[in-house]
Amino acid sequence: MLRVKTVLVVLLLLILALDRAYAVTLTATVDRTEATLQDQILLTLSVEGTQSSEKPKLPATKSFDVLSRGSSTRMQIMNGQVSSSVDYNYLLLPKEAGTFEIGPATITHEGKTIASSTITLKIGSANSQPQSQEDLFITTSISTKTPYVNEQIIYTFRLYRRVKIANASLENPSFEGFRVEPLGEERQYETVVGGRTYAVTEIKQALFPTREGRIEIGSAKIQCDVAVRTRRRRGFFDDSFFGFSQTEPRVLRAPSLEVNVRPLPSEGKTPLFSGLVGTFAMETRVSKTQLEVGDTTTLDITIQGRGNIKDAQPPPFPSLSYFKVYDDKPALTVDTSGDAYGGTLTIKKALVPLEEGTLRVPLLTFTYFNPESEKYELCKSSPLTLQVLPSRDKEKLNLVEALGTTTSKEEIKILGKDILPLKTSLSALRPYDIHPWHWSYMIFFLVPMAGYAGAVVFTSRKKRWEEDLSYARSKTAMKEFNKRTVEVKKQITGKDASEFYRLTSKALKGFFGDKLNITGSALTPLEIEHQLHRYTRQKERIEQVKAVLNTLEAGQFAFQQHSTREKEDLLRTVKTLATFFDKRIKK
Amino acid sequence: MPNRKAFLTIFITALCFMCTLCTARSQVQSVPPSPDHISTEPLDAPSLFMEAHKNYAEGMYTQATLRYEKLIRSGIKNGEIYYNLGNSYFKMGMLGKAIVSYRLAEIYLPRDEDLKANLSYARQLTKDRIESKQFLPFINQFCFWYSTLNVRELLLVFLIAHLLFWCLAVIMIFWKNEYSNLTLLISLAVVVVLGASLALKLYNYSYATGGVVLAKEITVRSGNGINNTALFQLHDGAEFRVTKQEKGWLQIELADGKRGWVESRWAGTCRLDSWPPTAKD
Repeated sequence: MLRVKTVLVVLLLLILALDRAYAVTLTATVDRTEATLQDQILLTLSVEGTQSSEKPKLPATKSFDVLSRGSSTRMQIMNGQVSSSVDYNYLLLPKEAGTFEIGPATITHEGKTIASSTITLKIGSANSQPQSQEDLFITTSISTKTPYVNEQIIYTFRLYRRVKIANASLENPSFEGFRVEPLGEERQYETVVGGRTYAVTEIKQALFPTREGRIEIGSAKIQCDVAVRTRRRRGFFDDSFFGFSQTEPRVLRAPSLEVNVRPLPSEGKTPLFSGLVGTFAMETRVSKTQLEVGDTTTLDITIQGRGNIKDAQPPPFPSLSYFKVYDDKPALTVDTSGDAYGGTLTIKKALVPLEEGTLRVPLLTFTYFNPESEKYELCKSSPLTLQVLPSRDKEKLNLVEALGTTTSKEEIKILGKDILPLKTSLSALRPYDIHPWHWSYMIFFLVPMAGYAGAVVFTSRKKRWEEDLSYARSKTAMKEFNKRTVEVKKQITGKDASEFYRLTSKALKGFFGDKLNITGSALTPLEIEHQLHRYTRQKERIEQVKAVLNTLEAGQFAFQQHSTREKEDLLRTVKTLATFFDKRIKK
Repeated sequence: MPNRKAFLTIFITALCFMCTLCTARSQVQSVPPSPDHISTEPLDAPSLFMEAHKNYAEGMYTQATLRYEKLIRSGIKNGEIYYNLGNSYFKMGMLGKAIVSYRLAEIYLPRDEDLKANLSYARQLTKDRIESKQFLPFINQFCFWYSTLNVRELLLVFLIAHLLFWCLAVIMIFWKNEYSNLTLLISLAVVVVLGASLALKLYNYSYATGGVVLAKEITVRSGNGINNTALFQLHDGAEFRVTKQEKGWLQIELADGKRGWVESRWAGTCRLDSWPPTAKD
């Protein structure tokens, strides 16, 4: 039993849930199904059964502009049942005539997509006449339908109204194929159309066709909120005076326009043609007609007229030898106050006469196309002459100085290239031996090294001489011996015979003493013999030394008398022995 | 005595260096002069020289060239005459020969501005653009003594520096102060650098490897034979380095590293003993 109850409860809950799911619906309604291009259609998408749904999606359409108008929520309690719904409002602005289908709009709720039904709308083309009967309408017009290229056309937009409007926004057509220049401020005035007084807002624009052929000017569109007069007075606060009057959005369209742009005629077109189309005049003026050479006068060229003055260029100014011309930036003043676009182009040139006398300012000319006469017309400046006086010296000097500081140096121009000339000096006939080998070079190379080697040897010997006494004695032994023998020679013929022997013995002993680095005078023949055995093996020489020393000893003390000849022989033997041992004994 | 030992080492090194120079010299001499170089007929050099000038001035460049060549073959070799020969070749439209002559003149006259201008102009006119991959391009600026002195001048400068060094060494035996060692070391460095430069210059001079294309257009091949693959083409005046010589062919290397073989008859080498080429060339 309990089981059956449980099953029933579950079923009930399921049914309820299903019921809830099916309760959400989407309906699409319009305020009318037939309209014209000037009308707008209010589309309401109502989502019923929930308040928390997302915004419905409306498929994109080419034929209408869709404007969102907000949403409103409703809640109803009927017979104890609560139902809630959300209304989403859209304003459909038809763009073209015909029959169109709107929708279906869709909404996604709890994973399910709910679609509305589709609505068929019939849009008729805008009827021109009924406008005058309306309280609010717009018109557009152009001054000419067959302009020339670059000729200005005046595009006039007018808004006629008998009701109060707010938040008006004008959407101009794109004006493709035209250059657009605004023409003054918007004008407000009143006019009577069909016996009814309208307030008119007028906006003018100047259009300059940039190409020839048929060009369509798209339709102008204005969006605004219109105050609606309500039939029923609901209350005091509904009065418009308090700003609570009801408004209704409106979109107004003007029909598109078409112009047929003509090309400029080729007949009469000259190279002087400036490109200007309209009516123009030129004037020239100089600031002073009397001046000195080097002085400055200003030439004013004024081009004034109606038309495409923005295209105006300074007329060509011929280069003259007697004038230096400095150009200033042209100034353009646009005048849009009148019914047409125009203005003034002022060109200033500083003229510096370089010669004295009566100088003519050249005539300036250009042609423009006049669409009224349909002809090219010539514009000429008035002739001007300048009286130029010679300049004073001081000023001339200044001019020269100024030129001196400003002259820029020119780049050297390479006119051609060639090799440099021959070498014609006869020195070119002297052979130049590049080979770096010559005996003189070798000597030059070796001599310094040899010099250094010599210096090294010299210093080392000098050093030994100073440091080693035995060496020095040995080296000077022969020299000392020779000195002594000079004394001995004097004694050969002398009276004192023993003096000869004494000096000779002293010389010989001194020699051996120096050579052997022993005190010579104390040497005995035996000692000398003993020492000499170390230096030579020629015993006969040693014996000879011994014999000579003994002879000399004997001569000193035995009063032995020798002849002069014998003395000379003895001295010669002593010398020979000294020379012999000088070579043998080396330190 | 360590000082003495050090100087002995320097002395021996210097001797070895001189021996190297001797070898270089013998290398130069070992190239037998071609019979062309010895002119048998007596030669009136000044009048030949003047005639050559006259021919050049009159636009008879071929005659001028022949006369300058004759002068050079007669043994008158110097920078001026090679320069004049180069000018004559240039006027004849022989860019390659002009460049060889100018480069030989450069051996004698490394500082001559006219020569530099003409050589660079001749190089400008050559057809081949060879990107130079020169290692350390500033070395010429830095070692100015190397690039601005010819062999003989460099030798003289070296000898003077050498003499100064030894004089300084001798002075230092007798008189020393705290800076003398440093001074000696600096002067030794100068001598060594100059000696090395001289040795390098002599080497480059003795084993000159520069070559120039003499024909209008030659084909560089992958080997020393006409059947080898053509690698690229060179035009009159293109300069290269000869790396090998074989059976009438030269292995060359361009400054940008490209290598190949060319027939030696279309190329001139920058050697004093092989220039000007004999008449049959």
